[in-house]
Amino acid sequence: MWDVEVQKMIQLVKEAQKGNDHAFLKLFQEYENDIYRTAFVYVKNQEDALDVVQETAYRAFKSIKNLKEPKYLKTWMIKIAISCSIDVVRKQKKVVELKPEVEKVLSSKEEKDLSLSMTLDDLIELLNENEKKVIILRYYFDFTIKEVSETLNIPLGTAKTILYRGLNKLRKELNGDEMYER
Amino acid sequence: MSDKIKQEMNRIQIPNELHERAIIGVKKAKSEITKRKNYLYKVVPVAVSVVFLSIGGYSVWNANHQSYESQKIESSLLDKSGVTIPAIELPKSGETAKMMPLFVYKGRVYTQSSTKIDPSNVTNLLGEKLGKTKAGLDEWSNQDEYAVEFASSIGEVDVYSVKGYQKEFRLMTYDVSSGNAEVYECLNGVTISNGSEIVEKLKLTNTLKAKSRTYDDWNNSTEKYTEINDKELLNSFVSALNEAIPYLREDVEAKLGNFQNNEQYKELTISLTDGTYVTLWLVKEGYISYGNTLYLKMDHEVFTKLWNQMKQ
Repeated sequence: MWDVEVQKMIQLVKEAQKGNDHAFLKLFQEYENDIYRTAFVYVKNQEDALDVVQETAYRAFKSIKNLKEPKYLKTWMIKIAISCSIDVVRKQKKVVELKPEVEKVLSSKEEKDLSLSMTLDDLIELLNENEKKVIILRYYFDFTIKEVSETLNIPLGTAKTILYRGLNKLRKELNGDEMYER
Repeated sequence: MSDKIKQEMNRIQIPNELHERAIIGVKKAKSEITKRKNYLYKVVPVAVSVVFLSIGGYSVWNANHQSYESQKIESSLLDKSGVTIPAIELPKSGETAKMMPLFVYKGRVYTQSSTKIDPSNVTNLLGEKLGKTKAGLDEWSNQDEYAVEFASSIGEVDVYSVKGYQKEFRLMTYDVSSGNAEVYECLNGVTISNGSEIVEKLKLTNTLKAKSRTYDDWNNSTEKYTEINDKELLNSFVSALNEAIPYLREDVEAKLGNFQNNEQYKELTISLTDGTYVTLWLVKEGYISYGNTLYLKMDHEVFTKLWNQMKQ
């Protein structure tokens, strides 16, 4: 079954590389929610996160023919999304306050979820660009720390250092969870 | 931890228009790809991307062609010392770019050339092995990464000098297992004073024969060529090329407008005695282009003679 899915994905990548936009969108649809949520953690509002999704789709479709290994599609797509997110953040560096959209997302749950809301807030507000990259890849996308370092083209030791630093920032909000990377 | 992060991130609500925005992004890309194919992408197939690398503000991507004007390029565009082709630079932050095949050697950026080597002559041209490229450059790489020796966008492959050619201008990659060889050239960050420098770099005095193809045939990848075996004519053409005046592509094309059609634009592939094939593009008005940055202007009757022998 897994092989069938992989074969199907590879076929879609090949079609997309020939310029088939429908094949590309079928692939993109698999990741767009994850891309949107990753972008949101960086840009902190819906409008900019949607811009990132659009820009990611744009850049990815334009360059998918350069993707040599279809099995790395997801990693490649996430990398583009993070790059687009950082571009937006840097372009709008002046925007540092918590935007109303974030407040809306955070307040959309009931009062009992306040501690969890604060954790999302921490993710968004406490971590810097590099810490977000490493923590999202490691814990949201379930990459190993080695895969994180390879994806970001940074040494393994650096990836671990960034991870620990990010975790330390989050520690006060995350009680009783795994805190150390093996 | 993993569950906690996921739980938190999954609380970010997905807007209804999410997929619609992805579609908009793809449509925009597709439209640009189509435009690119119709204009320059196929004109310089292996080197077009460098245009996107913001060479001195040169931006034909906009395809903002002016209507053709028969006037000559203003002389002020030509510095007395020739034209300087700007070094390749990365796009500014936020711009999108398509990475082209390239690698870095001794501080120079070598991009894939339209010049090809006859497979049977590869070993004859294979010079000294200089090293192996490193994978990893992409359109999001920063300038520092370009500073690394043998940094490349082409994965890992052995790099050699090319016998008979200046290392500063031309190198080649060669994969022993597949026998695949590609020519790479550094024609950026240099000043060209006159056509003779290009003739010398390409060794065009070793011209053996040539063949031509119409723009449409090239555009449709149709292998329909007109053989040009008049050696005297070809030699005269190369000789006149020595005197040709160099211009930057951006300056010429801004004046030419949309010239990419069968009536104004033809491909000329010159076979050299050493087994290399040099592809030039000729514009009816007397311009000859090589690579993606340079035009040479020839005011000589031999251009018209050659043009008339090329297939309509």
